[in-house]
Amino acid sequence: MPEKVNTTERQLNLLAALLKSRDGLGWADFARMDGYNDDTPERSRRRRFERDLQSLEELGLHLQREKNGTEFTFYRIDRSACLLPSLALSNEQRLVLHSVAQAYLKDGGDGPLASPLLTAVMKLQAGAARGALPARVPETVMRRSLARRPGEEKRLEAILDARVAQRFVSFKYRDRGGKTSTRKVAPYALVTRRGGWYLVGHDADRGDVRTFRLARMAGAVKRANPRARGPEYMVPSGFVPESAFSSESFGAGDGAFTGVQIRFDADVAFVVQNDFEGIYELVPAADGSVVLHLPQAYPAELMRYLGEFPGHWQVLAPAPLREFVVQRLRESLQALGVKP
Amino acid sequence: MNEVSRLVGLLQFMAANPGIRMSDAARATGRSPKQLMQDLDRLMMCGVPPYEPHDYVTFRIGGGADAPIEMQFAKHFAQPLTFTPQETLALTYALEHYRSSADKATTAQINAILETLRESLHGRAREALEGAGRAFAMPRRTDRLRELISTMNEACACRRVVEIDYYSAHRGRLGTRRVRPFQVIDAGGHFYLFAHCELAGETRHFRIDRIRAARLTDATFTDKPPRKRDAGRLAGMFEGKSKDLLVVRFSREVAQAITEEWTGAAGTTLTHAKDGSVTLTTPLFNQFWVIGFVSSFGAHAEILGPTWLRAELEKTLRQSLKAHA
Repeated sequence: MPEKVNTTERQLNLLAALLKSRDGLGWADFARMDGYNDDTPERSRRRRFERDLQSLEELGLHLQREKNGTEFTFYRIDRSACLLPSLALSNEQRLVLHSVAQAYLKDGGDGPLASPLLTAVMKLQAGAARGALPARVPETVMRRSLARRPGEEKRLEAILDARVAQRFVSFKYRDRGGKTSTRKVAPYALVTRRGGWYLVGHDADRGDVRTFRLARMAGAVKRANPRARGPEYMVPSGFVPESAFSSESFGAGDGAFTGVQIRFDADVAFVVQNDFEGIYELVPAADGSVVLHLPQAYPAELMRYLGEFPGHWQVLAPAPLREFVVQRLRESLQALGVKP
Repeated sequence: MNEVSRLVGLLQFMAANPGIRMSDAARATGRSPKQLMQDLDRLMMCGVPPYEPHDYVTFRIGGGADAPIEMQFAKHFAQPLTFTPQETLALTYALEHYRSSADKATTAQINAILETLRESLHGRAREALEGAGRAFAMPRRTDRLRELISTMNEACACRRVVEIDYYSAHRGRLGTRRVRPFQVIDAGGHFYLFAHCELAGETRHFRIDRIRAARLTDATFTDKPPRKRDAGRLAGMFEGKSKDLLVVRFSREVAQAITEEWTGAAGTTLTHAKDGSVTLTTPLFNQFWVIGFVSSFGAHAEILGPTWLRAELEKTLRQSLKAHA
């Protein structure tokens, strides 16, 4: 009696058989393989076989099927479509590619993309014999992180998967006012800003592109229509995330001050230049100080930055922001129980 | 990750790298040597009809951690499957994210790699790649910061002692120090240089944007980075011990924002009171961010502990108010 074979073993064997055969195989060949040769009815064994093929296709396998009447009878791998082509990279580019990947995978890697990144790198290294990525290269000295906040990982994975498949997601979302509602969104892009992740997508119920902070989502992100087949939406041609999400360092929109000017004295001017030169206008003065011009800024986000330079900064404009900041500083002193 | 994908990835890697040492294979495939052996054992069940001995994948291994491993009867796995869309997105994201803080030379290399991927990939991998540029938005970094990061990477790789002009928030002034750099770390939106500081006589994490200038010296070093528990005063930001416990009470008006920001943070508790306020308790590794963080909430935040931090906050607030007098 044939041995019972688990799904992983069955799919590995199926892949091995398809890769080994240059000319393709028919159902009769597969029906002799462990996992498809038990004494259950042929119909159920064939369904099992088709399910396994689907799983392999999701891993990147491209199959050519030939039909005889209504049934598929012959299966062949489309090698040109499903095998990783040789990449014409220079030695330096290979090292850069390796350094980039290792920077994110160092110390076991973290974040939502570490797992697919590792398998991608292993594939590149598997092609080492054909001039791809070397299997052994020097240790990288850079450590980068794709993770931002605990709890966001699973949501990010679900959103990324949905974006790849172009499927709607649904999730419970708590808005700024604290009201929770279920949202159905077509994911367009993911943005990481100020230590957190944001989803930019088309909100089906509101009929517009909206931004959602992942930290405000409650519970899991799920497929809105789990039984749907095929793509449910298209990302508009030419869509750029920045068009829907402010790239301002201290935020923009309702409640943000505009025309902000802050003077930093000579001791810390270079830090501001390191952070913002070429991004925002910086006007240096003869005494070594510098004035940072920001088109927009939320005061709370700005004050977090300014707090790193005790006594070295002064808000010049606009006047309401200056008053706001001074008021906040006084309030903080009062909260400590001391007189301003 | 899908189990089949994980094992196929390993099989393809091993088949394409005959004779690779166990330690190298373990590192390259993100496994411990023990996990590697377990997975290799699992792969030995992989076979094709007619299931003669040479139809099963097998491996041969010498002794010791650095023993070479030879896969046998796995040649049909030697050419890897193309990237899945998720793998394409992950690779593209890593390349683009890295590029957002890379120097000009590295940026050019990354652009060339992305172009090669676009030209070479096909099918769903290519579709994902063509869409990937629009799938993420990257932070903006200045050329000055990119060059500093590049200099530090070079110093770490060549193990060269570096002289830096550094603004210490703790001392409140600029000073020069010689450091032995170990690693550049991107964490929480900032870049840090993890290095041994000759001035302090121990390791430190230096914020790279607070470096005014960096000069590579001719001196080299052979020290290895200290073990994690010895990793220096600020190391706790990444690993290690905190210097104190920060306790801040936030009013009802800002409680939701604090809950969103801090829920799930390591070692952190949030205690909600009946009046709607919330008290945050979290390990304090470095007090400098706290000043800006707490003062941005004005009357809505009060530091309950430690006491010395209340005094430091008061001093800073008075300095800032004086600058606006």
